[in-house]
Amino acid sequence: MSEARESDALAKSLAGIYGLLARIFQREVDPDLLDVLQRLGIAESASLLSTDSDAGAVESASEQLETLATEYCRLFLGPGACCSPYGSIQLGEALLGGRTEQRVLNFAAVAGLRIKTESPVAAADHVAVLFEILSQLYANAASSPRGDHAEDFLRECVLPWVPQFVAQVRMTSPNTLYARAAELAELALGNRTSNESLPLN
Amino acid sequence: MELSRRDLLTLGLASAAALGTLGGAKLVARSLGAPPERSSGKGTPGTTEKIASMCQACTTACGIIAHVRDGRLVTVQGNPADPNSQGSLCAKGVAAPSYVYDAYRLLYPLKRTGPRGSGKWKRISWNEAYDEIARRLKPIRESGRPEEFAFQQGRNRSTDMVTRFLNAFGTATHFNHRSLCSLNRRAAILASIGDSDWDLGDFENSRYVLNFGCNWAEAHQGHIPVAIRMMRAREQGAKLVTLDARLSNTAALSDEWLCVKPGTDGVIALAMGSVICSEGLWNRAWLSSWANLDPDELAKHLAQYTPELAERESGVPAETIRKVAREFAKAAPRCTTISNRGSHAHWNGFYNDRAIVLLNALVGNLGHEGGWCWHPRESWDKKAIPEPQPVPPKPSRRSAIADAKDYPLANGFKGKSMKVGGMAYQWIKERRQKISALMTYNCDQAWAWPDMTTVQDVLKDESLVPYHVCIDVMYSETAHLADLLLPWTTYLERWDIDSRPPQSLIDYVGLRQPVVAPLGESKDIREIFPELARRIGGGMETYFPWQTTEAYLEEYYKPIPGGFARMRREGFYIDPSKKKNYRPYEKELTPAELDGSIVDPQTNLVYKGQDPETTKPIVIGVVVNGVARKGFTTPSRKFEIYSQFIKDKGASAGKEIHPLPVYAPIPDHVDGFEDGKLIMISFKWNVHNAHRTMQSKWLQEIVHSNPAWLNPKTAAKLGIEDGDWLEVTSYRPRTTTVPNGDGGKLGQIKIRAHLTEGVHPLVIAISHNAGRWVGGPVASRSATLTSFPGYASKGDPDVERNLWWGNALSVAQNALMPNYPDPRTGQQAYHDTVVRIRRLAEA
Repeated sequence: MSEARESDALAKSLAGIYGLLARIFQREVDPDLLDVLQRLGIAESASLLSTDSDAGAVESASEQLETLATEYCRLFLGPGACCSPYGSIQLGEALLGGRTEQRVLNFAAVAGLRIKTESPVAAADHVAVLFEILSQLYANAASSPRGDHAEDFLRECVLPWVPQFVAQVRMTSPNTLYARAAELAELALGNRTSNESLPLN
Repeated sequence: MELSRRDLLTLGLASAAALGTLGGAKLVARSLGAPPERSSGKGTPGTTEKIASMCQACTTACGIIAHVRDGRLVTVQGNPADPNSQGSLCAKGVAAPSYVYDAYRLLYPLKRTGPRGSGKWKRISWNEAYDEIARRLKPIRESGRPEEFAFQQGRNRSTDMVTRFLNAFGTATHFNHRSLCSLNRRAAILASIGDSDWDLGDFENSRYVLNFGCNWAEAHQGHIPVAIRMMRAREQGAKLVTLDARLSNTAALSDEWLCVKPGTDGVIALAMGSVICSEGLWNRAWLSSWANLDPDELAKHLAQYTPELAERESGVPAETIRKVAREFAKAAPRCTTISNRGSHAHWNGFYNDRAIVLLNALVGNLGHEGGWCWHPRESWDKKAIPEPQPVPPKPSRRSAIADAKDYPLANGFKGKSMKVGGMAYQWIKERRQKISALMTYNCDQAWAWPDMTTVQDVLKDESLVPYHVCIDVMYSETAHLADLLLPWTTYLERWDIDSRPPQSLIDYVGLRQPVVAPLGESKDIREIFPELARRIGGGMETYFPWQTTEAYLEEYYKPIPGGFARMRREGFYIDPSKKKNYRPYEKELTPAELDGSIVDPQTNLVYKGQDPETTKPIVIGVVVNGVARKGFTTPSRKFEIYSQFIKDKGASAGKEIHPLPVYAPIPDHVDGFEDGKLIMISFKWNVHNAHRTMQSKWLQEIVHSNPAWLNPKTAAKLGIEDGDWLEVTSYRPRTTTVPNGDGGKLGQIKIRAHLTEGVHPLVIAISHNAGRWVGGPVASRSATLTSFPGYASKGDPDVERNLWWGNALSVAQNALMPNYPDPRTGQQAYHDTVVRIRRLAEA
């Protein structure tokens, strides 16, 4: 595989992974997403769907989804979200949004993107927004090489806080779907089109 | 997760393919050349727009101008167009952005997934939330017992919408916090003048202000509007004298602070009255014309209250009482009293404020420029600006809780139903009335109310409260015990028609409007209630025909010249033809009014027409010195020193209420202050208001701790030094006039001592705004630094690094507070609790 084709393939792959991560962190798991995650092997075992220690107990699909929804709420929505999904909070700004959100908005504007007003997130520095922007930037990079946008976005808006966020998720919610998603995010963030940090095998 | 780079490639490509099968909205779109929507906001991008609105950080509702840049609230200033606050704003108001952009706000409807109080929730859609609530409320309404739906409000500035919803539903089980706030003061004023339940001293034109326990510089309901006028009065040479058990910031701003034993303001006022009478400093002519008791009889009644008696009771020297009485009378009519919870939030508070109001009548300052004034309207002119039709009728079925029959003066005054919300949970516990569903709104009674353990126990008990919906901006101790949470907008994201008692004595109307879009999926009740009404149906929906709040307000403000558009632009409207409400009782009845009237020669009352409900003749005025005048709206049309009305009301409930202003010593305070026993009082700081301000980092950084204030003399007797840890144990009142009045032990806290001369030696003073446990990582702290359910400060670097006061003491004072109502009115006696303190070797 040529270097260009390889880079193109990686960009497409990253676009897919970030798109998936955006969906996972944007809102709760629904039956369609659960099906996709199970097909992809990300949520292959019952234990990943439960936060209880006796996860071996058989839960119905709706019970599994309710358990996941409760965990999503505990982690990302609150009351008192354990892992705030907003960059402004992760970076220690006094208020939600603010400079961190503005950086995302500025970058999105330059890249020809906009954050939808009807989106359910409270500020544009939500991790799901960042993952979705990354997904779009990598998708564009795959079709017309502009990977530098993604690299710039990673450097400016993502890497300052998202690695610590996903590590926090992994530690706060071990052995759950969200820990798996966090690990996937860590892998994706470690693999960039311009900086090959994992060897091919 | 063990994944190679090739695995990653494969997974990524599979994900991309799978994503196509997933529905759901995307967060990001191509901009197609348009500016980013989220940053566009109102106005031109990059410019700062100034939007007039009204604050609601506390209840004073000051006018604000919000500065909004690219859709984000940047800062807030006072609005000079507000006739009450005139451009001034307090720290709570300035902290507005910290409420809107609080990272721990409730932003989505949440449904409980674990046991009640477990803290386990899941997000649901608004559609699901509406359906669920309607499913629970509809059968209650259709059962014919709509009063089984109870509504508990805190500070409510959307009174039109709340009342419309509850009346349309048909429930009278609507309780507020008035009995925890101002009930005694209002009842005392109503009993005396009838026209109003709220005095509005004309401070800026006054030469002497005698303040009985009102902390207007920090926490009064009229906070800023009063404070700016007081400061103007001082600039013009007025003297301010404050009586308080504690050196508040208001006392510090006064010329004199008289340190009183709690609950004795009334005897001081009566003694001052005695001095004024005995030294001939009274306005005998005014009393003869306008009071319903002969001046000599009054003087005889007051003679028992000598300054020496008042000194023994209150600790204020008799000579000081004489001096202040003389000064007050000398300044008449440009003198006035002001009072608040320091005087009236006591077991004997109704009587205390009756005595204080009387002082004004003695010197004839009522309604005079610079005197003790009032306005008949506590909000806007509802005849000139009526509620848009169709308006639902009042509920036909009664509510045993709202009726509050144990306290005859709570709802005794026509058109002024004040209820006794402080007793509601005790009564629910007693199953005085079945509750099938409870909706709580902007209220954290599980933390903020007296006897909070009972409140919590009731809210936890699903047999007492089978269903609980909580509407609030932030998670709270009350929200923690709900089944469904609805995320409420902050006051900067919603609409209201609003105004407050007019401190300038001319009524006005204001507009609260959204200055930024609601964060997350938060909604206001102006959107929630109409939708619930539509889903509950059964005719309820017919009272909500408007498609939007803007359409409703467009109609509401139609009578204003320039209408809704003008209100949106300017924020306030005051009718230029209206005059200040000076001496309204002197207004002569017009020939047209007198036409067909009859004067009763015995009472001098002027009658005209017949009340269609009672068939009794209608009183329209009184003849005074040969002239038919409007008079006061009391039964005698005079200032009622003697109130047969309150005596009769008491008798109807089997209670004795003295018709004259008297002093009734608090039974628990008569003696027994030994072995470390003290009277506990509470207070508020100028940067906090109820539960809502406590999650504000900006405000908590200013005030975040509540050590116990103790007088050094008291501390020395008990071997206590500054900073020592104390154990404080509280006791229920020992009087049969109070529920559970057995004198038994109630609560216990550990707290540090703060020694200061600024508190009465018999008092321990602990501020209210502290000791939250589930209110967010900024609000929730304690004396013992225990962990709090659901809140991990890790991961919020601002909390981790910058909350430098994180280890500061913060104790829930209400854990010590019994339910302690004035037996006449139901007003909570906040400052009467007897406690015992003991020094601890360590925390």
